[in-house]
Parts: sequence; C-alpha cells; structure tokens
Amino acid sequence: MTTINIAKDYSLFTGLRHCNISEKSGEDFYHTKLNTAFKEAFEKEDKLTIILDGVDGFAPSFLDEAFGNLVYDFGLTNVKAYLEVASLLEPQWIDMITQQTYPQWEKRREKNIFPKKTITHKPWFRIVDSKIECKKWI
Amino acid sequence: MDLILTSISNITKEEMGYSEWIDLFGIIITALLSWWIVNTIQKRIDNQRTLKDHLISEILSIRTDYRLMLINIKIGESHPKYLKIKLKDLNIKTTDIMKIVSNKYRIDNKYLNHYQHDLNWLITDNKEYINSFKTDSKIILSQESMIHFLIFEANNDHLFNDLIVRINDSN
Repeated sequence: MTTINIAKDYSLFTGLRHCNISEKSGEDFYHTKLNTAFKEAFEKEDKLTIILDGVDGFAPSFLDEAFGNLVYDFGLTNVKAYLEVASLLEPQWIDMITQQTYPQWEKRREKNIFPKKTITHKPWFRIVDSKIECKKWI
Repeated sequence: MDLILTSISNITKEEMGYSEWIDLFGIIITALLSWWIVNTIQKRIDNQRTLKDHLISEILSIRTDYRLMLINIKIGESHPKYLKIKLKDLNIKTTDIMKIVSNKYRIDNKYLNHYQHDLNWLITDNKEYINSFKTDSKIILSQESMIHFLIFEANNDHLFNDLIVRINDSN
C-alpha cells in the first residue's frame, strides 16, 4: 500500500482550487503528486492512501479539484477501487469527497466537460478505452 | 435515621412478638434500601446533569467562535489564511464534541456537518476571499457577498439552539 501524507509529502500549507489564484492549489497537487501516484497504484493493483490530517486546513475547492480530476482521468470505478482518503480529525472531508465530488466529476467525465487548467502542465495520465495514456490532454 | 432508631428503642422497651420483629426488620431494610437508592440515583442524576451542562457549554463556546468569525469577516477584519486555520480548528472541535454527544444521547454525530460544509464553501469560495488569498490581505466583502453571509446566518443560527434543546431533553 502506498501512502501520500499531504502535510509531509506535499505541503503543510494548502491553497485554493486553481494554480492561477493560489500556490499549492488542488490543481497543482493533482498534477505534481496525485496523478502519477494513482497511475502507479492502478498498475500495481495496489491501494493508494491519501492522508489529509496535518495541514493548516483545507479549502473544500482544493480537495474537489484534486480528487475530481482523478475521477475525470481514471473513472469513478477505478478511483473507488484503488484510492482511500483518510482523516481522523476532519472526517467530513471524506464525506464531501465521496458523496459530492465523486459523482459530480463522474457526470462531468461522461459529458466530456473538460476540467479547467490554469497553467501548462507536464503530460499526465488518463485511462482511455481501458488503457493508460500519457499526454497533454488540454 | 434518628426517627427509626428512636422507634426501635421505644419498641424494644415493650415485649415484642415474632411478627413485630419481622416488621421491624422489614422497616430497617426498607429504610436502608431507600437511603441507598436515593443517594445512588441522585448521584447519577447529578453526574448526568454535570455532563450535559459541560457539553452544552462546549457547544455554546463553538457557536460563539463561529459567530465571532462571521462578525470579523463582515467588518473586514479577517485574513484568508488565518480563516482557513480557524475553520479547521472549529471543524475539529465540532467533530470531537459531536462524537461524545452522539455516544451519550444518540443524536446524529453528523448533525452539524451541513453547517460546517456550507460555511466552509461559503467562505473559501467567496470572490473576495479568493482575491485576497495570494497576498493574505484583509477580506472586504461586497454588498452581494454580505447578503449571502447574512442569509446563511439567518438560516442556520437555530441549529445550535436546537442541538442544545435535544441534549437537554435526552435521557
């Protein structure tokens, strides 16, 4: 099992939704950490655990953007199978991610409503026709 | 107890039959039992009341913190990064107290989740909050934002009172 502790492995201080409005945004976390880590867990058929506790707090938009993009690129079934989000101190974030972010972004994926990217990112992974591809999608 | 002892003393001065001794024994046992029950139950009731008072005061303190936070936002005295930390602090306190309330009084531990969720979004997704985030400058709400905050307060302020009433009425 692979673990990403956001406070230790990414930043103690998290930002808002997009890169153009704050540093350490949900968009940035997704593209610099989560996308690759999840792709590796998916290939190994391993579970990836994301630990939320320890940072200075979250704007819900940070979490929505990070985990929403994951659902958009890998599909809800795969995210549910290979991702676990952990928080002892603020379990309400887990409820928000699973009950709100997941279904909303899955609908978005089905309707091909592209996520907004506010800076240019390196190529990233996405499942297309059951195969992982890596490119600049937007 | 004095009354019982005086009665025993008076009774024993006279000759007592077998049935009188049984009656007397019954009275003593009943008196002791009543004394024990009153003390134990009263202690338990006192403990329950103390716990309820403590939990209610904790909830009032959380409500006050939320109210002060909202007042500071409305008067333009809040900084975005401090607010994020404060929201986390209140999330943790609320989760913690609701766990105990739920265990003790069977009240849904997610009772305040909607309040927390909606308030977190209201604050951190607010246009003026976002614009002030990078520089961590004071948030000055627009009139439109101010109305959203006032509506939120008007719609949700009763939640804490309702929770207190439910705790108070619980067995």
